[in-house]
Amino acid sequence: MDFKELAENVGVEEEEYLELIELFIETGMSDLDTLYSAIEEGNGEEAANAAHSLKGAASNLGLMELYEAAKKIEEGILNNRLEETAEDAQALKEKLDIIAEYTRG
Amino acid sequence: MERDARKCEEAGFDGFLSKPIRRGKLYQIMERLLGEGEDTHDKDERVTQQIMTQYSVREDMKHSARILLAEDNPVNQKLATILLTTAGYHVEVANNGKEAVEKYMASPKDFDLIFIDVQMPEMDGLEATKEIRKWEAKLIAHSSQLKGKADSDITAMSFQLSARSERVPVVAMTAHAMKGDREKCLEVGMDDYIAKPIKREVVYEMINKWVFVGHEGYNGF
Repeated sequence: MDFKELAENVGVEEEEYLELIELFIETGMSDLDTLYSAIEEGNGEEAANAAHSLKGAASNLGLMELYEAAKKIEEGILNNRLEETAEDAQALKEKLDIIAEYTRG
Repeated sequence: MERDARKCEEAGFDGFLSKPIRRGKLYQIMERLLGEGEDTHDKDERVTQQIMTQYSVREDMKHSARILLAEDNPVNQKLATILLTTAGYHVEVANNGKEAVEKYMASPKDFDLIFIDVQMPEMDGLEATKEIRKWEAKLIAHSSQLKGKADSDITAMSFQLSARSERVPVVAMTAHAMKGDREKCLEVGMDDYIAKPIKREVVYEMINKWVFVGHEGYNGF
């Protein structure tokens, strides 16, 4: 992952971008928690909001894989396939973990 | 420093920045120089064109746009704040629609433009904009009524002072990509629409379009 290039695309300094990524991981994890429990409780609205929040932040930071994953979940929920999204949520979590790992390394 | 600037001016330079160059200053000076360039075509009375320095730019920044940013996601909030402050704009953050309405109503004259996320908890961007427009309409109607009466009442004066003569530009920011979203935004009284991801150039363009165009000294670029 080339943070320098990503930062340039977004229009911020690399240092600022890394701060944004850290914040993204933090809020992303919390969105994921919300997403998981909302799926469990069958609360479609809350689940969709959490996925939407992740999707927007990922796209702003140019993290396209995460964006696509979150978008898939949001669309799934909006199309009344809430139960099926648990698997997609897991895939999203793995991608988020990879980025978290990467920034630490 | 001042003497360097004067030397440059004598030599015919249009601008002067000392290193290290700050991005915000650079944008500001470019904005000013490009805008001024157009100005001189129209106004022959402008005999001396002053050299731009970071001091005059800083002076300008006091009159720079003041933005109310309503966004609930911390990442988007921080990114937008970085982009706006880097360009020299003042930013006030609201964490949801309700906060945005409260902040705007508390001091409407302090804001030149509102960027507002459409999907937010507490109160979404559409609802918030409706509230703001309703309140503005009431305030403007009230203040024009008072003007007609030649009233010396202090409350009347304070009403006039706190009211804007025009409505504040509201620009939506949204990750929705569905058809009809633009229409929904315009319907509730928003003026324009930015699709996420937030692009720096688009943000600056919006500010230029809704805040500076038509104002004295800024011709747009």
